[in-house]
Amino acid sequence: MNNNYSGNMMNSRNCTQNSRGNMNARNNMDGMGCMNDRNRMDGMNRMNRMDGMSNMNSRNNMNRMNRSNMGSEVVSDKKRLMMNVYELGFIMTETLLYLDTHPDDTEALAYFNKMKPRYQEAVAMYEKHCGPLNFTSVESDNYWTWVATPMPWEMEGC
Amino acid sequence: MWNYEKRLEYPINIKQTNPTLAAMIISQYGGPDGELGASMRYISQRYSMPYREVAGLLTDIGTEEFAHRG
Repeated sequence: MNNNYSGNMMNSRNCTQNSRGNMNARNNMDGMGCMNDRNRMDGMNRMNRMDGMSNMNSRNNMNRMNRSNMGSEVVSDKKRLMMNVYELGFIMTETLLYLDTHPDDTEALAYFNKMKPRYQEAVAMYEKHCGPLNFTSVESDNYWTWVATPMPWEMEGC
Repeated sequence: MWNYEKRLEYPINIKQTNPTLAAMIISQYGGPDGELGASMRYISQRYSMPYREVAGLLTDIGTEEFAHRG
């Protein structure tokens, strides 16, 4: 069991009693910056950008290095993990809706098949460092982490 | 059958509390033109939808509307 996010579990419990304590982390997430970033790009650019997101493993190594250095870098790297899930999740959802009414579009099917493993990898990477997105991903045998990690609106998952 | 994915669809960054705005937002969740009503309409309409692809689409859009509730 990877306990990288055990610190966040404690934050989560403190959250109801002392929401102030989480404000710093929340501000660090800088969600507004992400939105501006998104609005600047049209849909196709974003998808092309995902194509460039080739090697999740190097990302992972970067994460480990950051963890041993400054805390703020860990936060921004975890934010990146969350953004991967946001962007690839958006791609999966929109491709799903298109394919529902265009089931024989082989180009769209190829795109779906191409993006699916990237989405799954992004989810796995996020869950490894930040806690479960799906309850079936809980792997702990000494604590039920599904309800221990922050709720999505309390902070950006991490 | 539905499952919960423990994340939002879009990042939020709450900087201050605002009860008036909160009341408006909560009506967008469960009010007369809110996400709950939208998801229920899609999910109900699919039962009488004669076209298979569209019945599937209504299922997925209804799911999507409900996911807007976080």
